[in-house]
Amino acid sequence: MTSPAAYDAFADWYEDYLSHAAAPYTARVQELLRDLLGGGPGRCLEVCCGTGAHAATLRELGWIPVGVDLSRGQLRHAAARLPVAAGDAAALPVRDATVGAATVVLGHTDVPDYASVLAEVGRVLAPGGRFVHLGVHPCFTGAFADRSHPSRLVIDGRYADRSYSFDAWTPHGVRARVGAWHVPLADLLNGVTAAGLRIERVAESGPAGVPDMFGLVARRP
Amino acid sequence: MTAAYDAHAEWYERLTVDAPPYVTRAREMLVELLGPGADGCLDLCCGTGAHAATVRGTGRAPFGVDVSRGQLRYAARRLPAVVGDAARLPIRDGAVPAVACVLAHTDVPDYGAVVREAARVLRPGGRFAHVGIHPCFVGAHADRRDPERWIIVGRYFDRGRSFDSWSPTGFRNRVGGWQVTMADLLNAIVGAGLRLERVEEDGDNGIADILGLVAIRP
Repeated sequence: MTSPAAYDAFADWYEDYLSHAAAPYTARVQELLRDLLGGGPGRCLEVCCGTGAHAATLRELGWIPVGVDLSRGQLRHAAARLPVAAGDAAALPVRDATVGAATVVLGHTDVPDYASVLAEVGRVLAPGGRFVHLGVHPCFTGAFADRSHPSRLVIDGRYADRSYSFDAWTPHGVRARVGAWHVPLADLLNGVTAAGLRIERVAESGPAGVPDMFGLVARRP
Repeated sequence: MTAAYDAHAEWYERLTVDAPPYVTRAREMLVELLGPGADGCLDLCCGTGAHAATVRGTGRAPFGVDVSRGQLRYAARRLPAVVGDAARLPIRDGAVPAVACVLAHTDVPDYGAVVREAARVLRPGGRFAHVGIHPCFVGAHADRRDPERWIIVGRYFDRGRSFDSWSPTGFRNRVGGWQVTMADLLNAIVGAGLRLERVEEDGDNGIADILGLVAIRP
């Protein structure tokens, strides 16, 4: 373990948040996940699986989900939903080239070095394997973006600031509680290509004419 | 085919000859993305040939295609160039070692068709360098009057052509600009069969106003 599990103290809150306050957002996440990942069969490694909130979606698609997360607090909830292991996403307890698919859903801003997580995904995916990244939109969500008004965002120069921040326009979300790293768009895309993954399709989603979600599907050649 | 820039060729020529910081930063990014080379390079939507010297600086021999005869009058002094539609290039398949498209993707109605043409004319292993306004932070959906705090309004997904602009002295309110979302831009690259290799963002106040990328024809 290289870092403390920030989510341990918020596991119960997060479990409730995703299914209640953030339910419409969670529904859009799952819709985008279905669209990008497509159908199984095979094992799909959920990297940063958290409470296992997306395991049922993977199963619906025909995948057999298995999860890895650093937070034992979150894994207490996940254990009821999928087989899980406690582990660091940047040092996955999985052999090389053994999984047919991998996902990171709403996880990339929770790790200090997403590029190293992507490198691990590239390592464990079997040739031809599929990777879906889905997360907050790097350009429109973060400490640099005031989303108080959903169709009139205010963006400031902290877009270039990659540090961990608790600054948020709302006290009710994830960032104000757990904090978040910021990964600018170029860093995200370069992390995927540096991991040897080939980007196949990109998607954006958001209400009120401004995206708040960014996802992509990539393949290990 | 009407050429939107015909009526603005002289204005554009003066603007780029003066080399405002934005244009200089775009050129620096182009050099970084293209890298050194020795062969020919298609300057796609070359306009007045404003970036021909930059391409030449990488060691390559630029040649241009643009739809605007008004712009090409200026380009003729800077590089060999022909009149043509970027979505139907007068060039053989697999004939070109490198393609550069600089500050042009919002000037065409279907950038996906242009990138497909670039991929068609590139030879295997050839490089496609794209440099343009940042799709997320520049466009009719972005008000940049306050340089420290940009306002993004809910029309990011409006893909039409727009002349709406926060600035009365810029490009969009004069020539118009097409909105290409980030996903559309990236999907145009990978959808054309190009392999995305590297992406760069640049800005002078922390918010990125230029996005560039290099992709390889496998």
